[in-house]
Amino acid sequence: MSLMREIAERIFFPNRDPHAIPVLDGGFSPNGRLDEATTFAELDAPDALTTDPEGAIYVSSGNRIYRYSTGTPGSPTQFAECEAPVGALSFGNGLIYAALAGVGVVALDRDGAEQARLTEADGAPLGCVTALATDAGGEVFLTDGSQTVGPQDWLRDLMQKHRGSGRVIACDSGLCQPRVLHRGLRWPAGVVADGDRLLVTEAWAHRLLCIARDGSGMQVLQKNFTGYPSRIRAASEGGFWIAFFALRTQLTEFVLREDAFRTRMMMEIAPELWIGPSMGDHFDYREPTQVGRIKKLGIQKPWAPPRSYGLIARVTAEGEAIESLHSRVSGMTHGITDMVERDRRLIVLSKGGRKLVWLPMTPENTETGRIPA
Amino acid sequence: MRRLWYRISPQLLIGELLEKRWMEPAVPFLLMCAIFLAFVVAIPDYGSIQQLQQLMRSFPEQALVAMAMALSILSGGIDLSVGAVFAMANFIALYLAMVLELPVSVAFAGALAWGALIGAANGGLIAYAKTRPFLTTMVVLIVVRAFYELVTVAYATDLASAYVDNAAWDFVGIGDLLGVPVNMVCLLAVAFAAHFFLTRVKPGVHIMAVGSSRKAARHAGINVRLSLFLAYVLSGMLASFAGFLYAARQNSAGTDTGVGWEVNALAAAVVGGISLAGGRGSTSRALIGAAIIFLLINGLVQLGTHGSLTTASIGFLLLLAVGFNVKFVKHKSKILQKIYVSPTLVDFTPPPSIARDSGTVFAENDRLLDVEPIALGKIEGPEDVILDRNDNLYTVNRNGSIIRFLAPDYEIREEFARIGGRPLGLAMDKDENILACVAGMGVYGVRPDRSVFKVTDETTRSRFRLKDDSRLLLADDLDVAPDGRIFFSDASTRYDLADWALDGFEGRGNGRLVCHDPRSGKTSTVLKNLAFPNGVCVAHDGQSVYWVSTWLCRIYRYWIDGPRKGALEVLVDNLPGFPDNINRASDGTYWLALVGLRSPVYDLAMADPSFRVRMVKQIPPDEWLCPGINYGCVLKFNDKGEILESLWDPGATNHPTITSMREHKGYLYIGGLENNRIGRLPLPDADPGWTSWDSYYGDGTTPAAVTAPAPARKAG
Repeated sequence: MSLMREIAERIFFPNRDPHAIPVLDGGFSPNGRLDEATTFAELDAPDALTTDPEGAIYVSSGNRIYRYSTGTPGSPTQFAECEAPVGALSFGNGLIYAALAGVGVVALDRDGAEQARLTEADGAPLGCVTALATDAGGEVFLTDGSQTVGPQDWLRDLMQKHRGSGRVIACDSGLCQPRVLHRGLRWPAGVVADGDRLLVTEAWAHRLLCIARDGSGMQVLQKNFTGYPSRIRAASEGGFWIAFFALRTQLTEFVLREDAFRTRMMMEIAPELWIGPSMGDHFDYREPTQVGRIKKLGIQKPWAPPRSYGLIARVTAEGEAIESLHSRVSGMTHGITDMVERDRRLIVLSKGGRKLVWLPMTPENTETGRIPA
Repeated sequence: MRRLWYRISPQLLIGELLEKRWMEPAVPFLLMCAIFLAFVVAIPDYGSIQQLQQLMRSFPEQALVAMAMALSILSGGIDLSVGAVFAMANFIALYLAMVLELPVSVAFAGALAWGALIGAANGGLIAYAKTRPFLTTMVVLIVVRAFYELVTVAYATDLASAYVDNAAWDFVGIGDLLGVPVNMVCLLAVAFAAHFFLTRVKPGVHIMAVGSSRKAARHAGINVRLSLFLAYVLSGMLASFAGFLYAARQNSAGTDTGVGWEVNALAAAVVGGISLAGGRGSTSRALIGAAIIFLLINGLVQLGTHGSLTTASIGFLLLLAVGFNVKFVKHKSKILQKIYVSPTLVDFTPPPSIARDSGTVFAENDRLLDVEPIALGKIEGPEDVILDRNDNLYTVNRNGSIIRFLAPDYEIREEFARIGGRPLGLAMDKDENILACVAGMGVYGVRPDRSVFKVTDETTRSRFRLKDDSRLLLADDLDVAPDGRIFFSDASTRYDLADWALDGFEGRGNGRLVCHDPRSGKTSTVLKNLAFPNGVCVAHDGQSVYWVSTWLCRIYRYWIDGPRKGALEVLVDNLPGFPDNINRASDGTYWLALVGLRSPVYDLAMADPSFRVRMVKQIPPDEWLCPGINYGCVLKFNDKGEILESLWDPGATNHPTITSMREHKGYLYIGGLENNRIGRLPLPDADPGWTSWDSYYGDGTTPAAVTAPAPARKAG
């Protein structure tokens, strides 16, 4: 049956490659910059970053938000402790906005005290806020990844292949008057304001969208990314940084087409052992292996099929990659979920490596940009 | 039912069929059958005995001419003069037999001499004067044809009036042998001889080699000119033999005899799938091609089709067949690639837990954390290690050599012997020869003086199997029984070592356990249809052999002696990982390496063959799910099948693949198929004087003076 379908497809759509995942090329050419970066901090369960105008860096980790007042490595102070795991962070209007898994969004003042809270929009709860952004006008934007699962169950959401239930929502600085700008997205995971439009990443559809701020329309800027895009932030040198928390693989895409197998896998097997992308934060002897991942002479090949990977890319306002920073399959800085700039340095959050690393924004010498031998 | 379907997978059969060289003319052969059946349906009595005899009587001359053409094409050229040579031979045979009334044998010899003469002229010009085959033979065609027309006109009346009552002549022309026309018998005999010649006899094989690649043939030391010359001489002789048969059958030499036969012969060769580039094809293909052309012409004429329409339809069919055949030959390997991997159903039950806090004997621990590395970076893939009585360490390297590290500190590395292939499992016999299973080659041995000898490289071929599995494809591990018999595993008869993951992925019983008896020099298959047999080890009592099925995660016990000789039992089932080598331990138990650990997703995929089939078809090999062999551990079990302990390298940073371990004088040496080191672990509770060799061949007493080797220096 599948053979007949394949033949029919070949006849009617001869130029369509059914499973093309683009190779990492052009602006996405591999390098080792993330692995060469120096460690900034090691944390239990880091998820998101933000900075304030004084240069302090805020990191969410578990139920807590930590603050590095000087914006340099050192021992952090605990900024706030919340009732649920903290995800996305954003600074604006003199407040820190934080997403709480299963709760919604809270606004915290400079002492970490809660000032406002938003728990639902348009009658549906905000249990899975994946990204937050603010703009100069004081408006707050947020993406709600899914109506069915919380942010920690992102893999289940990918594998369940629901019709998209993610939303992009705007509200005022006091987290009031939420408006749904767009709905029906498949795990929107990043948002940033850019003039009169919003750039939104849609992870499971591997694309970058542009949504009008008045909710009047949506346009696909870039599609078919090699990875799953998540948070997106403006870059000082122009364009935007996008964090890719994992790469797509042919095997994952294949399993996504195999409904019966996938259903059984989800029923019988623990999620960390599924075939699928991983943040790289979990080691298990029993995880699935692919032929290309077998170590040779004790060496994991950096070009092996990636179960987890570290990648951030700077893209133009149209979504074309300008440069990228990688931690390849053999590296340890995987599962990048967020990044911020501070004083010409880029601070990158590796969820898989449970750490922050920082590095100069431009490579110090030509060697660093190369693929490690 | 489902299980059975996957076990006797028709896909497997087709895959193995496609692998066969003789499957290449499958399309022409089917076309031939189809045409014949079509005419049986269309023409009344077409399938009757008389009709068949008539067909068989008319066919041989055309077939022989087609074979003559095929031979010249196979040599990399072409012989357009076959039709004219045929016609002239016809005349010569008639003239000798009818006009001069010489015996049939003289007529036969005369015709053949004529063919050889023209062949020699063709061959001489082409091979030695280096003229172009096409032009040369076309000129010969024109010249001979013109000559033929001259002589037939000159001797027309002689031939027409001559009548000789010659029984032998008539027998060749219209006689039968058991109902089969004599000329058909001749054709079959010649075809068999030609096939034998081209595939088994040196000059014939040389012709094929020259046709494939003249340059390569020259480099291989073949006399290219002589081979070419010979090809044209034989081509001429085949054509003239056809002329002789034709003369005996028809007793006439008309002006149109043999006209256009070279075109039919060429068409036959092409339709039969003989490559015009030379070197690819066979006698049978020429015959099939000739039969197709012959049946078409004959059948269409019998149907009363108009002559020009016959030609046109033949041309059309030829075009179709040739086009399809070209595609088929071109894509055959791709089809094979797509369907060769034929996964079967394997139902696993969940394995015991390996979690650190699970409390099972398999629970992860840190016992291999402090393994001291030997030969770090000096060895590539020590699948197995063995030590001699002087404590020297021998191991295998992926370049095909046996490497020795000298006691006591194992710092000095030397290439002990070079075998080739990919040596895997090692054993030592009574004479302290090192025996090695070599993937791709068989079982080889190295004497203490470093000379290499072959133990065996083939076993009995299994009956009722298309694939010739007599050669050992993936000899994996071996051991020596007390009576000297060598038991070893041939892990797969369908995949070589580089594709071991595919074999695992297939989960099929492709391997076998083989026994070599040095007393008789015979090798025979003991057990077959085993899923990656491995880890062969003779039990301490010498009565049975332990072996593992790597993909089924089982340890088996096969009795080779004693009251239960020949019995097979599963000793341990459902291991949490993929077992590899087994070796004896000093306390009467056995060490077992787990080369990889089972992943629940992999187990699930093994229970779903159609999922794996689609995976093979849809995604590239590097992305396929495979048995995870990046992490492993060492186990110990006893004769009762109880797992006693496990030794783990947490995170497997030092020893990603553990394929073997060997106990020697209180230390455990650890090897791995893809590792860059050998590990050495002190065993505090082990007998510090125990060596493997003494365990097999010693007199049972521990040597008095035991000196444990000095600890090797820590590398780095």
